[in-house]
Parts: sequence; structure tokens; C-alpha cells
Amino acid sequence: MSEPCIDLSGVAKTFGDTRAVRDLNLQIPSGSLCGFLGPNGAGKSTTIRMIMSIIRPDQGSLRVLGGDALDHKDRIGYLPEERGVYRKMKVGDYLRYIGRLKGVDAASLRTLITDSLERIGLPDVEKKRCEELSKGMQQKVQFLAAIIHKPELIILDEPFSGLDPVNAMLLHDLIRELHDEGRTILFSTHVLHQAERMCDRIVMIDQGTKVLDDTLETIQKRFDPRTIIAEPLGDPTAMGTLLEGAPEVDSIKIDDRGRVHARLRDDADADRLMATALAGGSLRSIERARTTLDEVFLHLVNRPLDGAQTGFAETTLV
Amino acid sequence: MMGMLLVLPLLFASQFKPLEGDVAVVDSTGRFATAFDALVAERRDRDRSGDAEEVIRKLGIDDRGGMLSGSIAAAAEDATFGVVTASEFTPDADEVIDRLKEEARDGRWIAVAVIPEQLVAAAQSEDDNAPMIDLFLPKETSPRHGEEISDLIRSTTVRVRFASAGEDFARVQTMLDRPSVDVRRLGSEAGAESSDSKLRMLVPFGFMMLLWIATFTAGNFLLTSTIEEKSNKVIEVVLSAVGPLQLLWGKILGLALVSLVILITYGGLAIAGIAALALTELLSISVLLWAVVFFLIAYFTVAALMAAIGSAVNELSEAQTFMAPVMVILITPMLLWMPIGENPNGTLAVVTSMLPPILPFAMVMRIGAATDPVPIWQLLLSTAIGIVSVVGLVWAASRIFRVGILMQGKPPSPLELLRWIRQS
Repeated sequence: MSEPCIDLSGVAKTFGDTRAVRDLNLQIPSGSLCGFLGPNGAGKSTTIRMIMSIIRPDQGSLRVLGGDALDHKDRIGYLPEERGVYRKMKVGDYLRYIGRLKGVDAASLRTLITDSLERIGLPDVEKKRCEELSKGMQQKVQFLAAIIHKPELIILDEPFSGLDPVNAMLLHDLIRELHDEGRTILFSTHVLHQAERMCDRIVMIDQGTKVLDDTLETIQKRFDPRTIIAEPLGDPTAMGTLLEGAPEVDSIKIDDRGRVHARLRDDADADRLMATALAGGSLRSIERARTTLDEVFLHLVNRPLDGAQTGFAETTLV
Repeated sequence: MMGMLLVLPLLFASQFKPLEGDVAVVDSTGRFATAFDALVAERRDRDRSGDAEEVIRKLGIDDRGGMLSGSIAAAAEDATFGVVTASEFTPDADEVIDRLKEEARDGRWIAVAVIPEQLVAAAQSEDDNAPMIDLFLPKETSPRHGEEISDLIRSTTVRVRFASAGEDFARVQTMLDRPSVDVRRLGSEAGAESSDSKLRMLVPFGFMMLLWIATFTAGNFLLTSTIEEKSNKVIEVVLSAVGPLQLLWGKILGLALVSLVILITYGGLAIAGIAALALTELLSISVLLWAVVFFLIAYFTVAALMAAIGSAVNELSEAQTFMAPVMVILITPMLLWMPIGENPNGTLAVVTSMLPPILPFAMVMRIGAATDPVPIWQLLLSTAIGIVSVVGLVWAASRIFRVGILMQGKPPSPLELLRWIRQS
């Protein structure tokens, strides 16, 4: 693989008494669509601002596109978390201004602005003042401003916040499109299932420390819960007792919806247990439990969700 | 602008309705009404043109063709007196006064004046308890008209006294007239005399005001645009395209041009006005060049302050806390105008023109006053101090700007600002 698009090593940043980011190492390969996850206040925005050279790290080294972000500002698109527009400026003028700042020539901007506004479903707003737009429309204009110069690296801080499902879907499609064009995209969110649907790579941080950094595929393998969930039509306790007796089962738990969660022993055969369950009576459903990023995250930061499944049988992949 | 300054007071005067009507005068000499009418006629003539001409002469303006005095006189046309006359009554009985008062209530007279005989007698007594004139006004008479009538009656009384003593009042007045003086300034070379002018006081003021308006208009733009970008959260978008110092310098230099346009527009108008009035000897090229130098120092001083304040706060209302240094620059030049205008090379003037941040404002007043050229070493020293202080201020402002522009929440205290400046 070529040199990573973003390369952080040993980066730390302290604000007063708060250690926002501590000893962060992060490599984002070129062409990846990377979700940058973490709860509120985890240090996501601080990290992104450091990547953008808007604030400087106290320690560590930081390379973006092989140098400082400020030297490559025309190759980077950035949608900050704290975003706004010049309220009195016309939408077209605003995009033109940002585009010119990013080094796009005026002639190509003219058609570019009209076309892109059409693409995001706002064909008639070019002559309107920014303050006339709704908050969601402003968000889309801001997104456009971030990518108007067709950057090779796109950094989006909470791009989905404040968007309705329709517009979130539109934005999702736009980001996938940009990804398909081969651009590197890093976006932060605290809505984990959003990232799960889109990303090929996940970075999670909590309290300024990286807790996870892998491809989605590996994560799913690594955090396989190794649990069978069986929902019997009859008495759940009977099914529970049956499964508990099976040699493959490590432990049993029955949730309040009457489903039996049977945790498998290491290197036990899941199919055999499923067959045992099917033979033991009529079932409404039976499945292998799937991991969700929410669970992975909660597991990693040691804050189990109420009513969550049992812990993961984490298999360490080296 | 100068013309406006002269015409405005007269326009204000024209707000009032002219005094008009008949005054009933009760006196025994029988000379009062004639003297009164003559006085009114004289005053009216003087107001039409005399005042304006005299003002213009005093200011030392060469009013060729009477362009200026004519227009002022036109504005003053209706300003003071309409047709005011006096009718005389002999004080033979008390009923006369009562009857006249009754008629004044009905609107026949605008005033009833009773002149005691002693006041118009040829021989004046030295008595302190001299009787007074009784003046009756209808209750709806405006205070201003009351003053005017009272003034006319008193002046007329003096004239009647002279007439009673057999003197010609016009002759006495000529004798009492204080002659006017034609002041000429001796230039550095023989023959280069210039007429003195009250405008000399206005030139330094004009210089200072120009500087003041140009720098603060642009400075205010700088403050509000920085705050707007911060409070609208657009700043991070902009900062992803340019560095904070690039943004700061873009703002400062861009608005310097705006400020220069303001300066050239108003300054050009003022210079055109001065040229039209043939007062060009008040200005010289070197004075104008120095004015530009001090304009730049003033602009960068104000701009640095405004940028620092704008970046440190979140809203315009929070900026008030930090406005104290700006207020000093705003107000001190106003206080300095009179003392520096009168004594442009005095100690106060020399000291203030070396003192940042008010130095450029004090110095333009000194060079504008021009009665005595400012020593060249003082100009150079002041420029040097100015440049050093501007470099320091802009450096400190850029430190504050870089930290403050991304700071949200509680605005920093002045001490915190100092810490921002110190830390790299």
C-alpha cells in the first residue's frame, strides 16, 4: 500500500486541564471511506482540527497528504462541526467565494455551482440569500462548499447531524459516490449504525485514546458474539434447560422477550447447537447473533448497554 | 462641508416664524414710533446680507462674485424680521393702557410697551432705581419673539435718548464703531504674506476628523466582520482554505483600501472646497504626504485593536468590555483639538504627538495647524515611534487573533489576552 493519506503518530493535545487527545496513532490509507467514531467529547473534533492544522498538537507528528494540511488546502475538503454561512450572502456567491479561496477558477465555478446545487436537490437557491434557507438546506450547501473544489481528501465532521432521513440518505449516496471516484473520506459521527452502513474502515476513540482501528470486516469477525438466539413458540425455560445441557454451550440467558441466548464454548460447532435447538421443539426463529458497532463500542469502553447480550468472546486476530 | 458649517445655523434660525405685527407704544416724547421703524428697517437690511458678508470676511474667505454670501443671505431671508411697526399713544390717562392691553388680547397688537418718561429724558439721572419699561405680551407670544420685541424696544429707547438730546444717532454710532483689523501672517520669505483666517483652526480639526472617520469606519467593518464570521461559525470553513494570519492580513489590507477610499473621497471634497475658496496656502504637498503617512499609522493601530477585539469575543455586545483602549483613541483627539490648534508646537502637542496610540491624530492636527511648521526631527521621530508601535500592536493582535478566532464560549479576560500574546 502507498503512503497513508493521513498519518498521525503520538499526537496529544491538552486544553487547560482536559487531555482532549492522548498519544494517538492513526493511519488512513488512500481511497478508504473511514468512519471516525466516538461518544460526545471523545476528542473527534479536536483530532480533525489537528489534521486540518487549525489547531496544533502539543506533541507528536502529523502528516496529511505527505505534509502539512495548510500546504495542501486545495486538495482537502473540510466540513467542520461548527459550521455556518455568511447569512446575508447569496448561496451562489458564497459557494463562489469558498471555491475561489480553494483555488478553483471563476469560469469553471459558474457551471459547477449550478450543477452541484441541482445534484443536492436545491436547483433554485443560487440567487437566494443564505439566511432564507432552512437549516437542513444550509447543511447541504455547506457540504457542497466542502467538496466544490473536488478534493482528493474529504474530512467531514458530523455530516449527518441535523438532517432528516431523506436528506441523510441523499448525503449517504453522495459520500458513496465520492468514495467510488477514489477519494479518501474520513467522517466522524456518534451515530454508529450510520458508519456501519457506509464505511470500509472504522476508527473509534474514547476519552482521547484510540480503542479500535480496523476494517469493518475484521471487526465483525473479531467481535463475533458466538451466540445463538432461539425464540421458542412454547416455554422459554424448557428450551433454556435443553440448551444448557448441550455440550457446546457455555452459558444461557433468557431475555424479557422470551428469547434464549446460548453462548457457545470456544471452538464449539454452532451448527450442531442449532440442530439441537430445532429438534427440541417449535421455534419462531433461530439465528446467530450479529455484532453491531454499538455493542462493540460499549464493550470496548466498558459501559454495557442495559439488556445487552452477554460479553463477546473476543478472538484476538494477530 | 465648510459651506454647510456656515449655512446650518442660519437654517436653524429659519425654523422660527418671523416676527410680524404692530407694537403699541405708550410714551410722551412722540419720537418713539419713527425711531422704532427706522431700527427695524436697518436690522432687516443687515440680516439680508450684512451678517453673511461679515462672517465671510472674518473667516478670511475670498468670496468672489458673492456666491457664498448670496446663498447664505437667501437662506436667511425669512429668518428674522417680517414687517414690524410701532404705533404711538400718549399716556394721558390710565384707561389708555387698559384699553391697549384689552386690544392686545384680541390680537390687535403683538405687544404693548409703556416707556417711563425718565428713561427717554435728555438728562439722565444717576439714580440706581431707574424705572423700568413695562412690556405686555399676549400669552401665546413665543419666548423668542418676546426677546426680539424687548430688544427692539430697548435699542429704540437709546436712540430716542440721543434724539431728545439733539444728537444725530447715526453720527454717534459711526464714532463708536470699532475699526476692523486686517491680520496678515508673515511667511518665511519676503512678500509671502498670507491673510489670517479663522479657518486655520478648522484645518487641523478637518485633518483629524478625516483621519478619524476613515480609520474608524474601516475599523468598525473589521470588528463586525470578524465577529460575524465567528458567531455564524463560518470561520472554520474559511480557515480550512486560508491560514489565520492570511485571513487577518487579508482583512487588514482589504479594509485599508476601503479606508483609503473614504479618506480620498472626503479629503478630495475638502481640498476641492479649499481650492474653490482660494485658501490653498493653508495646505502644501508635503503636509498632505505627511498626512498620508500618519493616516497609515492610525489605520493600522485601529485595525490591529479591532481585529484583536473581534477575534476574542463572540458577540458585538461582549466587545464593549474591551472597548476602553479604542475609546481613548476615539475621544482624546477631540479633547486635543482646541489646545493643539491654538498652540501646535506647545509641550502638550509635542508630547501627545509622540505618544502611541493617539500619536497620528495629534500629529495631523499639528501639521494641519501649519502656523509654524513642525520640526522635521519631530515628524521623523513620531513616524518611527508610530511604526514601532504599529508593528508591536499588529504582532500582538495576530497572536490574539490566532487563538481567539476559534475560541467559543466565555470571552477571555484582559489578563487571559495577555497570556495569549505571551504563549507561542
